Amino acid sequence: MSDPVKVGVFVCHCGTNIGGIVNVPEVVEYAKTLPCVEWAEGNLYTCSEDGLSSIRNRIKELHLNRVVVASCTPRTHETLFRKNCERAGLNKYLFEFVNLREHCSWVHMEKPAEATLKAKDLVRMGVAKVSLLQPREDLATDVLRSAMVLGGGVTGLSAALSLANQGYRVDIVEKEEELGGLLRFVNKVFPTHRPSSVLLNPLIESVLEHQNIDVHLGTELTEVKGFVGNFKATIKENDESRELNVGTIIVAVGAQSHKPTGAFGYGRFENVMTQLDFERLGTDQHADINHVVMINCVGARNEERSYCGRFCCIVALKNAILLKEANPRAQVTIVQRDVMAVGKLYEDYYRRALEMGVKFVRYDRARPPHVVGTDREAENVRVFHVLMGKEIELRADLVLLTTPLVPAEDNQTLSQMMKIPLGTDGFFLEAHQKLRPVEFPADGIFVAGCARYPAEIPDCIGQGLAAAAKAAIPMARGQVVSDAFVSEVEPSLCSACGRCIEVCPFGAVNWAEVRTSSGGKKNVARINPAECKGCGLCTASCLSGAIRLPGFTDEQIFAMIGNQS
Amino acid sequence: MQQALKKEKKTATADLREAIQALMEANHLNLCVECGKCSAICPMVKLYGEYVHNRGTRSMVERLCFDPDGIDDEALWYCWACTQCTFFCPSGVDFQSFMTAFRQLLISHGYSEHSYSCKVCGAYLMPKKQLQILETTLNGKGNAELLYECPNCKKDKYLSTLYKLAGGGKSAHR
Repeated sequence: MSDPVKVGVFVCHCGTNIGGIVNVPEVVEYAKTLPCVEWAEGNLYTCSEDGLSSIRNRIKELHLNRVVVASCTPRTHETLFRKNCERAGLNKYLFEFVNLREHCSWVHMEKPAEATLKAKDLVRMGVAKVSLLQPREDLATDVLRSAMVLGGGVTGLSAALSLANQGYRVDIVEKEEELGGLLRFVNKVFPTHRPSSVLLNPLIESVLEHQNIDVHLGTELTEVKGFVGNFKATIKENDESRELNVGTIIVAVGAQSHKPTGAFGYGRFENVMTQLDFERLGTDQHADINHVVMINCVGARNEERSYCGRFCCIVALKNAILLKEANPRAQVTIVQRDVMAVGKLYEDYYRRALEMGVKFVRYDRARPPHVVGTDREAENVRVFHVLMGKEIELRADLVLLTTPLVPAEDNQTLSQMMKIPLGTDGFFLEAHQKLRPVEFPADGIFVAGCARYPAEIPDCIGQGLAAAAKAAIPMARGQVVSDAFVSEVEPSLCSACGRCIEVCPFGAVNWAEVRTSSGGKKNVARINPAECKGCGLCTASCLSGAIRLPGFTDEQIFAMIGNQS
Repeated sequence: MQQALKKEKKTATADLREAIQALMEANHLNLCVECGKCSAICPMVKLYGEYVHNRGTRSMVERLCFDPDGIDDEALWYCWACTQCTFFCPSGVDFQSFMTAFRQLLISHGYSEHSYSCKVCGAYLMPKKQLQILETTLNGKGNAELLYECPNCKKDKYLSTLYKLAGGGKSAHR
């Protein structure tokens, strides 16, 4: 660029978030003294329309060709400021963000003088870097208008149906021989007490009839290649391998019910079973059962599995109510640690159980209940009553263990295959717990339902629909535009060590054959810009200095840390 | 003799249990959600010293649900029937009404060892333990004898005094 660099610096007070600690006017005065800085000002809120229009006006009036905003985090505001630069006719990659809030004022609240010094340093670094930025263009790739849904449970079915109704082709890959997932084994759903088939069958029928949906039963996923817009998935259906070309993938593989073998006589006593085992037996025998004890939080909220199963309490309430309805004289006692009746109408449902005479005993994790009986039959449950300070004995013809959902067995394999992360508990880990609940860090792959965390039916359907809506975005647009700050390999420098391929969390680096100057061939690393997220891991790991990340080049970093004032 | 008495009590327990069950249902004791507000507000828990597992309102609900043998425990007689717990209960447990009826039930079944009754007419007045506490407190002020009779008997007593003062239709005032 031949034009002289003209930098505008905009320092935000962020109300009192920054302005209450950092002396903003002092930072502004300092910024004016920095090389190439044409303009510097403070704003109460730079992200407000006042602040944004001020940036645009200064760009136009003073012909600024670089902009530095020193305010909050790029995570939430970078797009806004870049767009704003674009509106004023400035290439959006000529903008640099300095984080004065998270990196300075919030962490140095007690030391305003030092915080002001640090703020000056940070602004100086931003100005040094922005001068070396070059204009760039966004990258666009085409997106196939089809999706693959992994899992044919209630989540996957909802997601698939939604996408198919929007006009996209959908392939459902289900490893079982039947659609419906875990919900098939539930006899009635809470809190309406309608058979699960009433809910599931219409969904399955619509999916099977839908012209846009292909269902692959008894099918395994063996390989996934490619990136958003153009995934190549290999599936094994009836011992035959097939390739599916899809634009997006929704992971709705669900979870499995925990089997607490060995605990509370499970596996030893015939009348000790999990809630799901009990539901599979149907409701015919309910009227003949007189004494039922349910033990909640079996295998949940302990050292091994720290999470709460989220709806298992309601499952216990449901079965207790069903038993009470079938036999009002039945003694149903729920031995619990806390009753988590969280969700629409569930507190009323809990009250209904209380009103019907279902009893609740709290147990202490340190003194869990134990089930006693003859060789094969459990007869009593002994539990230490915390409030009475003594052990009580509850008669039990049937002991139901309320267990949480646990991650599906092949989560690990899928995680490695698609480079999508698992949390410490073994469930798939979304990109952001609050802001991006159904997405993965890798673009074009989405997660929904119990694959992510135990979820009840409305949550599963809601997440399935959410994932479908998210997956439809790139497919509706027909192309994906990605950030231009992606890594680039200089083939002549690449030593083909393969470290970058190993470290890339997005699978964006692969081998490519190039011709050498002497006429031979050699393998070098090549980065697919559509998959690269610009994280810089490959750049940092490259021993030959062959990988360059625009926006974070060596020159820029050295300029930032070099010219100490 | 002692043993015979005990046996009698045991047999009484069966229908007493059913009556208690009916009382519990009528006053919604089963609706307890273990929030603990009742025990936190209970003035008697404060009176009897630090919180002990068997003294709060909440634990009485538990005891009656799960411990049929605890029926002659003195802790059942700690309650003053003051309505604080009933007022604060978010679930609508009417503990005050329950306690009043429950004590009548216990007394009618012969469990009266922890109760104090009016020394004139024999009507239930208050738990024995609380009478003792009040006696000790009031003795210092010399008013303890005010405790021993029920309001009706007191009224009768003072009325007859007044009647004597008014004796023969003459005015008490000069």
